[in-house]
Amino acid sequence: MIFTRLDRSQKEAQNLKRLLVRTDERPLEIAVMAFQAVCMLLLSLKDGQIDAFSVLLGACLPLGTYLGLKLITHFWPVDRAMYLITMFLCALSVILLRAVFSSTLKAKTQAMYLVPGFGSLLIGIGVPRLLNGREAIIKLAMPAFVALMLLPFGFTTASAARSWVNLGAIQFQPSELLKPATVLVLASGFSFGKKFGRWIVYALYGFALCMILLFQRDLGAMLLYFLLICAMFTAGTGKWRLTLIALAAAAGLGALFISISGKVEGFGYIATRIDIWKNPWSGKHEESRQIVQGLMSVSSGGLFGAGLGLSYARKVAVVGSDYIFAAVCEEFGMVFAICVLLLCMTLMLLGMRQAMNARSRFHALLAFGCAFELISQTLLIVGGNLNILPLTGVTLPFVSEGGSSLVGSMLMMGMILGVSSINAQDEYDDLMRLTSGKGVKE
Amino acid sequence: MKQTRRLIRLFALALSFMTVFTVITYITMVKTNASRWLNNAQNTRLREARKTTRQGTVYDCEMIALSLSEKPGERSYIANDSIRLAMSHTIGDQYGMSETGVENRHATALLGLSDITGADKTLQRLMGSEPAGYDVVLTVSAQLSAYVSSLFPQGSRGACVIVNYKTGAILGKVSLPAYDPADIGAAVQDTAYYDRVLQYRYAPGSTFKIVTLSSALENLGGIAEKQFDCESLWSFAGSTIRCAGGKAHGRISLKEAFSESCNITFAKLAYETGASNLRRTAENYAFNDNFLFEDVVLYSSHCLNSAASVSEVIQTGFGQGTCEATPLHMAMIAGAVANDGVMMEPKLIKEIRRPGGGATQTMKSAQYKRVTDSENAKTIAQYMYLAVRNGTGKSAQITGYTAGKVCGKTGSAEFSNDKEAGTHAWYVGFLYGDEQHPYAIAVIVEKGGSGGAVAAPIASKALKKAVEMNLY
Repeated sequence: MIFTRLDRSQKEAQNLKRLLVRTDERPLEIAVMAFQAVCMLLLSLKDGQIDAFSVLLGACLPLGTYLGLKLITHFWPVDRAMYLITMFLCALSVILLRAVFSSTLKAKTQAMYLVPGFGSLLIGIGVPRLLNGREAIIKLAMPAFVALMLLPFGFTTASAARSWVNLGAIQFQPSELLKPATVLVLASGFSFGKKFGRWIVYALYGFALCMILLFQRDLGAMLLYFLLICAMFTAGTGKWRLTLIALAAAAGLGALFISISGKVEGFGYIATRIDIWKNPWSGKHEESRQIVQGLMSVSSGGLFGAGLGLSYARKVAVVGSDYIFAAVCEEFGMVFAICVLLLCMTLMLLGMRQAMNARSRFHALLAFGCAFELISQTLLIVGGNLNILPLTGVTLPFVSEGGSSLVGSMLMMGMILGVSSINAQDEYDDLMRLTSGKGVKE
Repeated sequence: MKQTRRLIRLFALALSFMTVFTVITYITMVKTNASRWLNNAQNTRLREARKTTRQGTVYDCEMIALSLSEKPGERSYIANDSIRLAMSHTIGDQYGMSETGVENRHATALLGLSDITGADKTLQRLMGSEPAGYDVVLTVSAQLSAYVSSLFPQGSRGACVIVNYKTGAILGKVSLPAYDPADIGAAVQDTAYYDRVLQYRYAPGSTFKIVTLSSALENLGGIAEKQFDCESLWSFAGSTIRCAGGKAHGRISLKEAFSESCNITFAKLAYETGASNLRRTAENYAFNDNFLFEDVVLYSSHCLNSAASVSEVIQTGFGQGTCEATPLHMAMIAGAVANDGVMMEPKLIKEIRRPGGGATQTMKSAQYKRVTDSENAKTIAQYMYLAVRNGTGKSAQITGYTAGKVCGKTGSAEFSNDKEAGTHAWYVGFLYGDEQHPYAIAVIVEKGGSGGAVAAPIASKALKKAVEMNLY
């Protein structure tokens, strides 16, 4: 088979890449689609009579995955494996919500969120191309991002946590939506190397976001933002000593803050959280019920799970978002849960590979930041569910219920896919140059 | 750009390690804790499963059925009142009143939910048969326990546990007052739902002298040959030590001090050994351990935290002060002395059986830890033999028993600063050198008075019965 330089079509770049690295994602594609269809069809029998919604999803999820893949690869030569793993996790979310709860409402809502989710994936893919070298636009957007982060102070509902914005019809969490925006800003800011005057503005911007989150009492999100800034700063500027100093200072201040948190208005819950983390079974705190039920749920799945729709994971408070990993453990069992974790790791490694293959530092940092953010969030919440770390209210990317989280995660995944398509294109161009446009013989 | 790539690779590596670490922690955590986490009164899964599953039968070591179910959702208990009440804490109940009984601590086995039964569960589902739980065979003898229960003075509170110190198997176990698992609505005495063998911490009193003696033998060379002076009263570091009944033992050897249970000598020994040495020995004897045994929930015993004062240390020398131990732990300590210094892990489950027969899990003995070297253990056993032959434990002797030596230590533990409140009567001991009957025992009678007069005779009769029954 010979490639000739008819035109520099994206499709050829993609085919060439598959040929060169000898990968074929077809089996993965089939496996993901089969998983989606089989799980939803099994769940349609859950209530004894056939449930039309589940059957519909059993058809729509695999079809959507397939058409989405065709659509995206028609325009951009993206990394298919990453797209497929993402779709697997998104479908897992709908499957779990249908399996855990007796009503189909949550699963329905989550399935609806997949539409804007897919839209943000497409937008994300476009971002690395559109904004490459356009530092001015990103700089202009920065105040808008800060303003968005400040929104919850004006529009909170009385009962909800302080990090949510309530606009009546729509409720969303700016910190989730701003994760991709922050990665974008920092990737642009830190891509100019070591010059102090260049990076200090962006470091301060990141610091400001962290402070806002502190006042919104969203410490989980604050920790994620802080780690993201440190990681991107290190990778971008290479000043790892400065990062270590910042980390040490933050750890010291954090310890100090925790020790006096009992006296600070509104932060009294931190001491309780840590006490619960140290010994969740003491029964001293009412709030420890969630983690106790969570641990029971995690361990009651055994190796192969209670069976789809047969678990009692619904007994865990907020199982849909905070404790979705416990639901994975109980419904599907330990073996499957470990596979999910390893898939998340694979997704991270694939993203990091795109970051390392990128030609410009902006693209490298963009892919790196997104991959870092997604995996650190995964580890934070899974560690919290397993009581390895104190529990924070962050979501498991793609799997937890909720629209803000899904849209934010999809935007980030989209940006990695966008970088991957640019990389494929660049490699294709290189090869054409090497062979002086005469094509490659197999 | 090159440096950026290198740093990204470093981050990728570190994050992969963290994911793998999470996975490994997840596996080990579930493996070590799943049964403890699931067999919990807060676990609603058990309540649901009891409605749909026919639970397995609980048998004692002689295959007497103690509790059984004919169909899902019901449970009946052995009709014999004395056995049912004596075994109540061991059996447990359906409502989580007891935390530690088999029906609670091993509910997942009885319901067939535990991991070992996964393959069978699938098979059951495929065959379409009614889900049935697994039968549990205990190491405990119901007959022995009922007999021991009858030895306690009428209406008294206390506990007794007999273990095989070579295998760790619990052979007899009684906690009083009892409650009736077949009649949970009925009024019970307060604290009746607690298993005193496992969940009550008492001041060990003079029985702790075993540990003080061990510490002195380990840390003070030639101490066995030294003489001590006891003048019925010793004031030191702000506390006044008396021997029981205000008795003055005069000039005595260590051996005599142990068998006569001289508090002053042991207070001095504790002081000479020093807080850190005494604490180390106590911790070798599993004080301050967080017990995570497979079969039984055993509350941890406490002794000498790091900020202990001198007065506290000398009080600890004869088992008062802040020192606390559970009866099962004291029996394990006696057993470790008899077993050449090796403490065995306590075992309660002899076998878990499939409904159709065939064991899925049988008891495996396991060493818990070495508490002292074999030579010291022999010396301590010798001292404990003398305490029963000539000393305070005379009434623990077993008439007509010649196969081995009866060794033991009595205790009369003060539990309140009020001298009028009386003392808890303790006895811990074992049969030494009898291969067929390696029994260790701990007896406590709350507010019973003197250990030698109240607890030791119970131990004597209980061990005699166990020997007659030829339990192993």
